Amino acid sequence: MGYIGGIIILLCINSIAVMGVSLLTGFTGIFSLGHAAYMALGAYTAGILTVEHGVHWFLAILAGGLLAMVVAYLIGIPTLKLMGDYYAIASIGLVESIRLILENWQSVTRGARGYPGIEGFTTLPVAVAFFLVMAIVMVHLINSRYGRAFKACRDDYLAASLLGYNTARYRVLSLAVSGFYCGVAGALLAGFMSFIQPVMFDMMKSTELTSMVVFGGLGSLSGTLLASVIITLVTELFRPISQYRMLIYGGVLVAIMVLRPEGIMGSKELWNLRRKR
Amino acid sequence: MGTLAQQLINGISLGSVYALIAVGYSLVYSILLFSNFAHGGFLVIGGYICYYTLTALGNNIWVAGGLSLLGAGIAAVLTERIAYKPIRERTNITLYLLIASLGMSIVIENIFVIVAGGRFRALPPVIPTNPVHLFGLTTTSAFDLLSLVVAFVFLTGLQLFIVKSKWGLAIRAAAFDLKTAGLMGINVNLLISIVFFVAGVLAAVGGIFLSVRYTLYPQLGGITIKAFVAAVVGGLGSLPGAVVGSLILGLAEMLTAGFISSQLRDLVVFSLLVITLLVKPTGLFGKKPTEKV
Amino acid sequence: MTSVALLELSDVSKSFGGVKAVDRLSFSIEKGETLGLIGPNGAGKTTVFNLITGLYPLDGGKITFKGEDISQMKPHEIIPKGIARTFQNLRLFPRASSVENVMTACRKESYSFLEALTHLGRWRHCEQRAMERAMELLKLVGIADRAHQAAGTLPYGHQRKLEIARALALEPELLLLDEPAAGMNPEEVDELNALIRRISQELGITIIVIEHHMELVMEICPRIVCMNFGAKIAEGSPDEIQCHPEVLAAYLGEEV
Repeated sequence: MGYIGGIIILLCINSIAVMGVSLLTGFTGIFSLGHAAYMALGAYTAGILTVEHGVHWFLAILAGGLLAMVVAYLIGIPTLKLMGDYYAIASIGLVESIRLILENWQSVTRGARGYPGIEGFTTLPVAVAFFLVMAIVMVHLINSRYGRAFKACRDDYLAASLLGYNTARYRVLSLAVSGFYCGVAGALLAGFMSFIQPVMFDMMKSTELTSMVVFGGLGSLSGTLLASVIITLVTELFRPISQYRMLIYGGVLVAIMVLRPEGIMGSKELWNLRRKR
Repeated sequence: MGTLAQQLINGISLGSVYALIAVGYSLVYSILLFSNFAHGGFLVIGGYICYYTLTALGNNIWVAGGLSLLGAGIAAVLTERIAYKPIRERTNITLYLLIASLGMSIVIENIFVIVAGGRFRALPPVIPTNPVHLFGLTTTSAFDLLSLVVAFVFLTGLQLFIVKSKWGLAIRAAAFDLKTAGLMGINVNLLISIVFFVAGVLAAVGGIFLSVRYTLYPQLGGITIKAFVAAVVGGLGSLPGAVVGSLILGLAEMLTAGFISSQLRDLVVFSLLVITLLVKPTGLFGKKPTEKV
Repeated sequence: MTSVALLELSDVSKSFGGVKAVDRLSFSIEKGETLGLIGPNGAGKTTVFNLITGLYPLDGGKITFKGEDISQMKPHEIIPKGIARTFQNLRLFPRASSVENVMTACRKESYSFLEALTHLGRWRHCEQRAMERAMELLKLVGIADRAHQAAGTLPYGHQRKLEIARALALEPELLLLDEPAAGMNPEEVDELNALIRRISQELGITIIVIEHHMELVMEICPRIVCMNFGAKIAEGSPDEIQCHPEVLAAYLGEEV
């Protein structure tokens, strides 16, 4: 597979997750730190299904995504009525709770020691294929009446409701789709690392994903993907000083918010830049 | 494990420490209407300053405590000036403040990881932890009683400050309507700095006690998530709510740890959050912010 | 024979804290009418719009639209029944272009989630149709030349017109305009005057206009309701309103 192949796979996985976060935070304006939990759900579902129940990996990945989506939907219904900060805190609670459950439900998840022996089904073609398909679907979704609805909920939910939008429903939908993407990413991660541990899906992971979206631009899918590439590559290149990694993430988040909150791309897309009217 | 009385006292003592943190956090929320995720950082700063002062300058808790409170308060003000002020002056999108606060919390935590190392440190035993017998009914540790008393003193001090002082009045006005308070002649930037200073001081007190209880390490700030939950349960923006929520949380945690299982105590905390959000999202005493159309 | 009013408010009341924002207000509007709603600042006019569109629950009274009681409904339930509004303080989507703002209101061109994900089926046709309709509306209000400019960067007068275009995209039967002429220069007010007439006569839409611009109101509204302190103090033709002692007192103070 090679070193470069491994990096591309990791890039694809991160990009799928980050597209989900972009939809939720960048396009629908919901600040959440729950993504790691959905990745964990996807990872463990895929891992357990392939190892213990002989399910084919493709179905296992989809199942992982679906489980994450359903949990996101169920959690979203009562909590997304709340605005901003309430939901953010709830999402942190979610990540921590799921991590706790994973660590303590030893019989199913083998606990904090982790779940080993997962088949390495995430090969380069698999990762790239999933990424391409899901990227195209995300672009489609955003360039549709749903994308307009999400953006309306983000920019002015009051005005959106006065255009007849049931903003609660759209927010939950956005969360569900985002959950699916994170779940699939988690499942692919399980098939790549062949070993998963609860600690891989903690607040730091959520923060990484959020910082990629912020860095790329809240409201730009191409910006998000660009940021994902940059940050993944930089992380790899700077492995020797990885203890500074989190410090730099934090610093970058603050710096961007203070200096250029629009991130790299703002709300523009790379593919729209040439259109000037 | 222990008797009911012991766990109750433990719970109230822990809850009172949570209250110090939750109140500072709720205070900031009531003025700026955003959740300052970096609040945990102030706690850690307080803990480390206390630790280093105690080891370097001898075991005088008053000096160490004073310096740590001062240091945390200043750090809080600096955080606000560096990260939040530029943002809130340019835009009223609280999402940006939220993300910046997340960034600051990571920065603070990791500065300590790099500078102080990730290992757990025990504070020099300046704060007494010996067992105390209460009226022959039960035994508890002097530490629990002390943290309860200290928390009570600080919270009362805060209450007096808010109710009796001029700046306290300004804070109450600003909590009601920040813009109007500014128009009435209150120096909003100074007010916000004062609020952050107070929040930092309170967090530092909590940090010192938590360092003794759990040992000191850079990620100790993560415990503020429980203070956040307490603040939500009590009602974001309400100070009495933060205190009540914290006590409920502390009791729930200790009773669970004492009688059910230590592993489940955190899950109980988050269940409380879920229940609150489902039943009464604005918490016990919270106010719903109304938007003018 | 009485015709059923399009919108009817009966004894509507709303208080905030101790303040009576709307005090047992009753009026109705027939299909095709253009009604003016005037009154000094703080009279409760915008609150009336907020109540009609379901933003706040009523404290008392009833609101019926096309014979249906909408008093307890939420905005997303009321709007599809045929009501649209603009805002006193403009609530555009600043990052979206003019045409996107209007397209967000093109709800009739609908297709399924699956079709959105795949861009198959009705997607292409509906998106095209929505774009065409949005451009037509931009032309109607006179800002088609800035169709792809971000709404937040438009000149103020254009933004006001854009909000009207967006409201029209909902294809409402009742249009609520909240101070549409605020901040406009005389030329723009004339354009607005003509636009409101076109909306009423060509599109057959019933309109309620909140305005402080007295000339505009008197010209385009054959019937006017005047409020003060949440209550109706006068109702009638422009001539009647202009001489009404209570109206004059409300605006100019007791010395008249």
